[in-house]
Amino acid sequence: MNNRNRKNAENAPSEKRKTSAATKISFVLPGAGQMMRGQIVKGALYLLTTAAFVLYLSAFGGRYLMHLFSGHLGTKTAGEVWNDKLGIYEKVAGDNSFLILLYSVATVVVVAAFVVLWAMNVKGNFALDKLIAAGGKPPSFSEDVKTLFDEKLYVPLLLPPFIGLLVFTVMPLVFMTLIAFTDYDANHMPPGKLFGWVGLDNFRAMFSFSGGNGGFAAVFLRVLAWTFVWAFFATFTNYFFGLLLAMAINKKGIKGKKFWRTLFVVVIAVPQFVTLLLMQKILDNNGILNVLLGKEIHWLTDKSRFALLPRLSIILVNVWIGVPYTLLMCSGILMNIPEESYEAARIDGASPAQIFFKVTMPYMLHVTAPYLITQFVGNINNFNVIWLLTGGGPADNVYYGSASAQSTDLLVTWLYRLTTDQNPRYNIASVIGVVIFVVCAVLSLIAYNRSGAVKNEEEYQ
Amino acid sequence: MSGKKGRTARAFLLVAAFVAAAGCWGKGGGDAVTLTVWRAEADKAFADEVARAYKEANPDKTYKFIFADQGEGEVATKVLNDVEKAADVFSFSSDQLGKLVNGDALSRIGGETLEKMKRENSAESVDSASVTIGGEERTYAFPYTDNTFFLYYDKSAFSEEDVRSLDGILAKCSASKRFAMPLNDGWYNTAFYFGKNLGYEVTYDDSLTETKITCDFGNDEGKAVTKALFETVSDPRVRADADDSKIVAGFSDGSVIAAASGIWNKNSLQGYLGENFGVAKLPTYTLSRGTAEEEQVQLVSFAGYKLMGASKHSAHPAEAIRFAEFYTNEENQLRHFEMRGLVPTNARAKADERVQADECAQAITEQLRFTKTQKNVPTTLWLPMQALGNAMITGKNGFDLETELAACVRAIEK
Repeated sequence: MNNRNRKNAENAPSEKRKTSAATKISFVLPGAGQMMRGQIVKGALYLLTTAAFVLYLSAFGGRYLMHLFSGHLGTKTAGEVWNDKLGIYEKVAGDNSFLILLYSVATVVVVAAFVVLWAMNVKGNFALDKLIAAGGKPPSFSEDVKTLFDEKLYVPLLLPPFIGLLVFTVMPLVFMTLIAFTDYDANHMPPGKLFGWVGLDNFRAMFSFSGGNGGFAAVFLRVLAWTFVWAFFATFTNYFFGLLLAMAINKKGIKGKKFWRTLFVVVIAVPQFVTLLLMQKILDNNGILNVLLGKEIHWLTDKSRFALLPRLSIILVNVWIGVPYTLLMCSGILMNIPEESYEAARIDGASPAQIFFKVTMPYMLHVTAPYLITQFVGNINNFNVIWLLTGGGPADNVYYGSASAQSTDLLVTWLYRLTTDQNPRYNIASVIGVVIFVVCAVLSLIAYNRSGAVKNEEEYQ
Repeated sequence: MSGKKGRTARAFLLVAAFVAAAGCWGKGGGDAVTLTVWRAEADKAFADEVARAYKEANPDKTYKFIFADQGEGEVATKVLNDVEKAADVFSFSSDQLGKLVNGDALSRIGGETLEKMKRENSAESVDSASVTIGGEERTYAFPYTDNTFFLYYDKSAFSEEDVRSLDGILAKCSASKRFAMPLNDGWYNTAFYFGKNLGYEVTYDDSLTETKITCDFGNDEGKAVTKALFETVSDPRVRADADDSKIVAGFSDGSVIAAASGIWNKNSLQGYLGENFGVAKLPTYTLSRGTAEEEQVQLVSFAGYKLMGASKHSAHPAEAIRFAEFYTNEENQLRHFEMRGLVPTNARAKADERVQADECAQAITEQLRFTKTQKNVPTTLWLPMQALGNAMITGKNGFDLETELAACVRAIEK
């Protein structure tokens, strides 16, 4: 520690004293500094990358970068022109707003990557200055490569996933978010039509109460409310019934524990969507259930009383699908609860209910709080169950009007319908996407930070 | 999303095409034209026949056809997902024309090809394949058949007199032998409203965007019609949630003995009914306005056309148009009639004695007197009308007519 401090103190004046010419050149010509000091290959790589970047900008990226400042996403609409020789109308390509936006975003990412590279180059040169001032010799290329597999092993290991994340997650995310600020909908579909920036109009539309059926905001609040109701019940019914079942099976004196556990877990062996489609057929207006009952009950399509029946049906089917997972997890945790706690409770004369609420539940909640949070957030975006059972339906003109939402839609199925509808509204769908992100992020952060698992990390260790 | 995938795919295709071209060059020949064609599943056999005939008629070139099933009602949605990736030639129902043109998906047709189409096909059918942009009429597809619906019935259960009115039909029906009509589908349940000449008005701008939509289903007359529709839906002798598969299944097990449906079900229904197979125009329904005054109103069906369009973004636009034209010419319209009973739009094909003698063709011709042309229909019509129908079916006693109808009209209008 002491030693290092002294060394830094010695270096400081020389660092301040002078920046070498090579470093200064490398500010404008990345790689030159390295080459001037004998790191030919490394310098050449920097130079080549710079050349490639300049070429990319001048030949392709520059124009898309400029587009970001032009305030529009293309001006030339596609058309057609008569070709007398062939006897057909031929297409005249116009600007493609979609591609312009996509390439603009990609170019920004490329520019950002280049800036990082440039900074690395400058930083490297300063380090070289320091090294030479201290009397060291710049490492050769092969030495550099060697360090990549030794003390800098994390670089080759983490670079591919980082690039993957950037290209396949961050870039599309930025792109999709930007759509929320455009008028990209059925009437502005590239390549035939252009779309452009509209600022916050879509957000204003989404949160305004004016217009038919109380505007988008009323529909949005209805969908949001049901999303939360659904997420709450889907999460806690599964949790509660799973726990009960696990406790029943775990109870002393129950015979064939393994058999019971296997029996319930077999449900998992059937793929979820198969079970869901099967349930949908069973609950259909002419399904087996109605045939057995000899009645025509619209389990999944009755919209009366705020679509109570379909909503209940969905939650019940979800219990059937979800309980085995909670059962599995809870059995494991229940077996881990120290027997001493129970013994102590029994000696103190606690009733079974008291033992459940004072010993079992606190332990379970403590261990499973992060699981519950992920489940809750997962259920907010639980597309499969809703889409395969009701498709978001039944449709309801009275409550949802022309907003394309339906009675059992979650935000995420609403988003999906908006993009696959007869009249797609990608911009509004994107706004919903942003809202879902905000809701999930905020909920996760709050719930996670307040959960016992984080606050009293040491409690049960 | 799909756009990005499309581009990657195109990049691959480009490379593949390049390699293929280089390969051909090496072999010194071959100008194979590959055309992707989307057509209805039921047209599989027909389309294969047409492809065979087309290859025969054009021996100087090598053609390769890739067919895919695509329901004609969904084509616009699929095509507009990524117009540059859509099929070269595709069949669709005429109500989607505006959307497809708006989305820049269709090759415009002109010159001698257009003149020939206009000479040979009925004016209404050509009109259904055209849009007006800035006062100019532009044609974008080839028509080949009418698309409407009419009445199928079991001759052993009904007389020709019975099938003239809904009351007459229902009098012979029971809860186990029902009349079926997809009344939770806007294409069918609007027939009640059109019967009283209720309709909608759409204003378009020059890029075919709907700027204003009005609909008069909600006025007093509309309320009376809605009441009649609701009474029909809640009648236990009526099967109101009858989609195509339920109609066909109903005739097969005898639980349905009369139904409103289109020509596409002809072959299967004829198979089940045998010599009792009967067809007629749609019946009339009883409209009452609260007082004793009652009126018989003819159901007026939507009449659209089936069209064949060529993709504007095809790699072989001229070939695509030529094949679309061939697919819908006189010979193939007759072939289509013989294989599936589709009534031709081509005047000479329609005048053919086989078509003239056909009872379905007669029923359709009769029904065409009572139709509303399916053109300039609000794109917002379908979902609210479907929701209204479903509300009637599931509501039964709890159906609040005034509120539901007002909400439906509000959802249609813009």
